[in-house]
Amino acid sequence: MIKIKTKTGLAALLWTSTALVGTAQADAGTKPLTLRGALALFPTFAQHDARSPMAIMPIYDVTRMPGDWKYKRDEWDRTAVSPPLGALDSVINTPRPVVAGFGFTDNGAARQAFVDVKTRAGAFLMRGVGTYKWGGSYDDGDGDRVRAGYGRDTEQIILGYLPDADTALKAIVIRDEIRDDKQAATTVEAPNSALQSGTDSLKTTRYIGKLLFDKTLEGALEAVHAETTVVFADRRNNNFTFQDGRQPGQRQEADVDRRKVEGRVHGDTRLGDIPFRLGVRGLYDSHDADRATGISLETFSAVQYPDVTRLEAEVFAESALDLGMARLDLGLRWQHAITGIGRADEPVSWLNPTGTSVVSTTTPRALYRQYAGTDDTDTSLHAISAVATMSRSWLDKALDTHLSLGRIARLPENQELYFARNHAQARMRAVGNPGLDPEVHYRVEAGASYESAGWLDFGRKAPLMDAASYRLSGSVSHDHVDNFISRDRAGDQTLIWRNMDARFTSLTLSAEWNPTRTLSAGVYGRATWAENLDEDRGLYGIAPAEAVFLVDYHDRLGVHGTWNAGLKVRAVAGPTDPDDDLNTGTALDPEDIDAFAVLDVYGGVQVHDRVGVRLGISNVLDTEYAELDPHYVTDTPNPGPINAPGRAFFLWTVVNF
Amino acid sequence: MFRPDRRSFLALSLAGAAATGGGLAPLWPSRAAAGSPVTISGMPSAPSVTLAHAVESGALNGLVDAVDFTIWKTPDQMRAGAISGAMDIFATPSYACANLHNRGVPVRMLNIMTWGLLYVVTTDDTIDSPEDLAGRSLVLAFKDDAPDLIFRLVASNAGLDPRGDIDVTYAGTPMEVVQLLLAGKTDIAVVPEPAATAAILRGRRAGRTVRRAVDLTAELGRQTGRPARIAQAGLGVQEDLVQHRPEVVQAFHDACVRGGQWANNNPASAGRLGQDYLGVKAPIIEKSIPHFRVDVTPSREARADIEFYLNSLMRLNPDIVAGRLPGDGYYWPA
Repeated sequence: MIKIKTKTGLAALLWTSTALVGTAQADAGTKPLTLRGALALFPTFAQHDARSPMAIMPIYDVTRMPGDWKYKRDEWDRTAVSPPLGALDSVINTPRPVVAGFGFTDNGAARQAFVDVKTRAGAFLMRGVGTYKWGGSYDDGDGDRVRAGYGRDTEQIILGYLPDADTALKAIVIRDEIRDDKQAATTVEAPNSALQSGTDSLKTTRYIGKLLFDKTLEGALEAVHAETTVVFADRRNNNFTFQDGRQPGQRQEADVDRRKVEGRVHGDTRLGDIPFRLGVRGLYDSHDADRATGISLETFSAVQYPDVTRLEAEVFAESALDLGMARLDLGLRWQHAITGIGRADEPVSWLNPTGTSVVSTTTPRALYRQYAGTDDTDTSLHAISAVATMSRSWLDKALDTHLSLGRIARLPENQELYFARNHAQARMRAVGNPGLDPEVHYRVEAGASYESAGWLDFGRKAPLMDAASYRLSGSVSHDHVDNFISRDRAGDQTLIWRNMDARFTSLTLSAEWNPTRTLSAGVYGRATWAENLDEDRGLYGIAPAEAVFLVDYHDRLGVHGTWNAGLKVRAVAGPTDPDDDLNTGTALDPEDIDAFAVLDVYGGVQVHDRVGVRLGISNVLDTEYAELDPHYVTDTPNPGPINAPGRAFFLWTVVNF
Repeated sequence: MFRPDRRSFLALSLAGAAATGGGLAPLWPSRAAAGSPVTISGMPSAPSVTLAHAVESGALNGLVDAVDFTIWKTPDQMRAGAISGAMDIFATPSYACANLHNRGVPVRMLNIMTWGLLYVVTTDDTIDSPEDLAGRSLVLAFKDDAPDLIFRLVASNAGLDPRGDIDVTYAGTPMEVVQLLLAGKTDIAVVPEPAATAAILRGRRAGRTVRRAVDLTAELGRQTGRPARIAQAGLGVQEDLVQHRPEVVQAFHDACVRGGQWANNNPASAGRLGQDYLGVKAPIIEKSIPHFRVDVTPSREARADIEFYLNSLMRLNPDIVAGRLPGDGYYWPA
């Protein structure tokens, strides 16, 4: 099976479906039931269409092109289908202590190097991973230059202490720094226009520390898990370091600081034969960001996150019932958040273009009053979630099915509650809503997967038999969402957040086939339909339907090494109901997005499982296209289409020792 | 005194039938007709990775209608398959094939694939040589088969009485031995690869330091003044196949040679293939490959080593190889 990874939102639902199918298969049998864990049981809903820096994980992935490709969805989206690692698998996934690699592309001059070191001494283990990336502007399919560029360093250290089979203590530290991240021209050009105030990201630094403890016990309490996570995030964006011609009053520089401390503890017990987990989680979140303007950048034009303090508490319980041929998983969760802000009344002023006089002054509270109708900036939010999933294997475990019903709530994020960006022109303002209610998904999801007797994995037929080798899977989900938290436009076109009702329906299908032990093929499709029920129109930020076709030929039996080669065709439909018109909606979807199909080819070879090379051509036919969902642009209320790269040759070299 | 166990009884009974019937081959219709399927059976240990490679690479494509590849679970199962003719080509300890051959079962030794893969693994820091085992308890699998015989050979050469000076407990399979070691039921075990590597790696995860204390192959070489090589196991082949389908035998042997080179050159890839066929985690097989001395050698070329090994075993008990060294008919005339 091609591993489909996920990030957020609806994609998480689809991934959950896949995970459930896989887990059901793994759990089937006569062993005592084990719990799936809250992450598998509860779909993780994130803020819809949230814009944020590129994801940190995975730190390196040589099935993708070297570097970060923000405007090519199948490069950054972890739910996207990738070709298999092929020949490089045995070089990268090795017990050897060091794996290192370097890659580059000709288009965009992206380069990436990584090193992955692991060692063990007695009960202690250590792993360190570092990756270093650089990139520049690239040519789209028509040969036009697309503004881009960045430098990025990411390091991860994992320390582990495993004194016995029942005890594990791990510490993880991650540092991620993105420098000089230039945004596409559609958001930053035309410097004399007040509408084009899009910023480049000068520096984003994220530190994440995690401490995890697991202990298996004998007695009524069978296991305990405890973890704590600390996140420090700092970001500085501006619109003048890499952009010429800004007058002082048009200069904008944003500083974002976020500190989060989260703790989670759960314990497992068994009531008779029934496993039961009870846990608690707590969160402290401090989020502050302002935007300065003027000659000396001492005047605040906005307080985007007005010193937000957020405290969350959560209690969750999970259990599973063995129903003979089937199992029923049950989960219950209660969440409570208290939020408040410390800079509600801080004056924010918009200057004239030369920066010599104030045009207008307001405060975050005044903005909330104007656009959300509330003066009260403190919130106390509650949310209850429950989910039940029935799963069953059929046909001697060849067929796995599941059905899941749930009421899953999501608390509003800081941005949705408190974002307060002022601007002289209303359509450039963005104002949160402290009066938001939690959104509640009423959800039904069903899925099935069938594996023939000869199936082991994509590219691997089962041993000791010559039976047909294929896997079919599919899932469908439907969500009716009460109080869906959506961006919208106020009467003066200011971007606001509000609750509305919405409906999501998603479908995923896949078919994978190993016709021989050396040839494999797969076709993967997914589609999502989403509707704003209040306005009877489509929702912004919904990726159009797409299908991916993979073919991979692999020789794993060469005496001196192995090789593989393949192709990938990705076909994406045009959006059927984009939210791209300011007169009828939010215009958060870029206009002029059309259907497209892109052909990639690749090949890999390795020698003695020690040295490997993977090379390929992305977008062989130099197709000009733009994705509907360029997630990683610095937040702009007026996005435009950003063309993906045209033909790009890429090369990875990997070595272990 | 030789006490026939179930395996020996089976072998003796069928060998007796062969002797009285003038050979077993005529009792069965020939399985070696041109194009007919061939059954190949590997042993449940790391060298079967080379067989899996040979099968997956299509070594017999065009020569036979189909290849039925299986893994036998116990030596008794292998003997039954060899005697009945159900296994055309089968992984076997060299002495076991010699025993069958000497008792009239129409089989030959095709090649030697592994030249020693037995190890003493322990959680005890004080064990570094066979002599250190005096007065100690240990566990091993496959009583009266290769692990037991080679261990007794090395212990005897070290001046120990393996039945008197050492308290030996037998388990069903090498992986059961590993489980006993990791569970603390014993602190010394004699296991072949990949079980030895599995004990070390799983020991790390369980917080127990398991050490490869004695390489029995190297130890036997040191004791006898010979290289660290025991002509321990390889492939046996039915005489019928040798006589009527020599091209099949030759092709499969050649494929095994390539498979051995492939495994030595590409241990990670071999680990992945081994995981599919043996059900042992790929990293364990990958790490075990340097320790199982794969060198696929035609039996005729290995004759001196085989005869040295069989002579050594006959000193323990001549019945192990049915009382005599096998003649020319035991060796594959490559």
